[in-house]
Amino acid sequence: MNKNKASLNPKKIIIWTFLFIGAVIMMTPIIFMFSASFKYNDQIYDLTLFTSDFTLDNYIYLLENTDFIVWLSNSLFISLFTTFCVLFFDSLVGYTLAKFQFNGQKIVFIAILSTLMIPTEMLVIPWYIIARDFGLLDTYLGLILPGIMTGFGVFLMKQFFEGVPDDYLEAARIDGVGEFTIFIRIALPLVTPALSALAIFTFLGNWTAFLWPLIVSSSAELFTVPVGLASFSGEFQSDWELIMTGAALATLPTLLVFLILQRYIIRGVVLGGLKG
Amino acid sequence: MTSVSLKNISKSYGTGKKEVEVIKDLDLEIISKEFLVLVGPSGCGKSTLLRMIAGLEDIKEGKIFIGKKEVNNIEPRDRNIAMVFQNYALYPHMNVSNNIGFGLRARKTPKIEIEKKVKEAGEMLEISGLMNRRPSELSGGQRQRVAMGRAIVREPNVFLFDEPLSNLDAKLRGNMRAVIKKLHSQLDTTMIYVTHDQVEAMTLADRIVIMDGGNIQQVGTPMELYDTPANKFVAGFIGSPEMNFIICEDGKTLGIRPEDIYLLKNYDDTSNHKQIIASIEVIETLGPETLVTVNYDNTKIVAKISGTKKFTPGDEIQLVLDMNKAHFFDVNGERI
Repeated sequence: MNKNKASLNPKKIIIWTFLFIGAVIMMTPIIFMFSASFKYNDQIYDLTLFTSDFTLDNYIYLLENTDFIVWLSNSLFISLFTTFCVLFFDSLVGYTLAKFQFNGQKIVFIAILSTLMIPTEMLVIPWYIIARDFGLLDTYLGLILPGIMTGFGVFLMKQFFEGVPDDYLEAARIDGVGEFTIFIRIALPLVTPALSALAIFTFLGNWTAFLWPLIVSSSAELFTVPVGLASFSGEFQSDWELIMTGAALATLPTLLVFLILQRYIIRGVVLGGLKG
Repeated sequence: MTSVSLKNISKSYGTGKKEVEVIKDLDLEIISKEFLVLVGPSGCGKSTLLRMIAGLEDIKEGKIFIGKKEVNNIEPRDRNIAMVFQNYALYPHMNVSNNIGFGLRARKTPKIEIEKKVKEAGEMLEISGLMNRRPSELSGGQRQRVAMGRAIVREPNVFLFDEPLSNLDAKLRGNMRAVIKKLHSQLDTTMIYVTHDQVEAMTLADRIVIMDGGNIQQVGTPMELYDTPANKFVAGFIGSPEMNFIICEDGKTLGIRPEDIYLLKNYDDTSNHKQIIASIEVIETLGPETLVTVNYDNTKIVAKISGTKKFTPGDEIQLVLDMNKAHFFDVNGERI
């Protein structure tokens, strides 16, 4: 078969056309974001991609005159720490639900699953009340605590652990290791694709989280990047060029995560499609 | 030097109306250093019994002793047993040497000793060249050797095998039978082996336990079971092709093995025999012998005739049953 002939079939042309349109729609705002970050304030509403007055002033201003570095490190710390917690707790709960039998197991699972149906917008008020009563407002703990376990992660991990044959665990039990070691040394390594996917979902989710960080933090040194950038947007005037510059900088870590874990994120999205 | 005793063991799954009893009040003594094979059709409870000895299933009724110690409430890891699983259960993310050494590392054995033991086991099982491979890069037979290596290095008091050869092809199975047999004589340890294959049971066992429906049907050496089966079930289970059963007029059953049926013209001892004439239905040529299925009074009888003879389906044939080798069973299937 001639390869060129195969690539010309009409089905493929249609698919490629749709993919191309999709890529353009997705890429346009991102390209404009980068483009705007190199413009002066008075050119912002001029929608040309390449300005004649190319400038790096926005970057310099953002890094020197604002708390952007603090926000960035806050975001990084919160996202990484939360991701670690989610991976640990969700896989532990998922494993327990998948591999052990105990009374009330189904009820626990359904209860965890039902949290998937409640959107964050509904949860922030109870979270706020709890955080207030425990004196956690405007603290790192208050920022982090609501996110350290997710119903979705428990569900995902449970489904994957169910695919791990019991024989491995039984062999390890006879080989002489304790239950926690079996979990860490045998069960977890067998579900690395699920762990990577969950890590990526969780990291990105926390990196872009806006509502809860906005509500719980009031001092600028606790802001995350999205909250910090939002503070550039005022009632009468918005510093779009700074917002765009900050957003462009904030994209870089996620870009990095994507480039490093590319094979896993694609697998992760596929998994999400099947199991989520 | 470890015996295993099972006393009044019962086991059932489910509760209430759904309760299924898989083992019914079973007693068994396994002698130190013997090779004991538990054999029976699927669902007879043999694997459950093995898993109870391993500690992977809890014991609700009865007691299990390993050596002199009651192990009902002792964790698998503290029973000093090793088990080889049907699907090998090698840890997929570890290479061969880590798979074999895992149990030793778990028991905090010094590193040098682990290396030495893993090396020895590798040589014993002829897998020294595969130490750095992952299980996915091994053939079925090699995986099974690794699984055995993992059991050997632990130097357990009792080896448990759960249908270890049933995922292998026929030729490999023959080789591995020999490997296991050799292993038993080298290690000189108690081994308990579960299989549904009567050939494995006959060739490997010092003693065989035949189970059916959660009960022990008979315990004995392979030849005891072959020569004096306790009931019709045992008689039919041991031996290939299966024993022929002919219902007599008084309700008793006559059992005769295919190898105890001869062509009349080849038969010279006339002291105690029964002569029949039957029509040939099926002929299976095996090489050294021929299996002839005949119809005698609407009962199918298989005869194993030595040599290759020319037979034609539909022909009448004169056969002799050697009544010295005949077995009789009463209406309940018990041996008379």
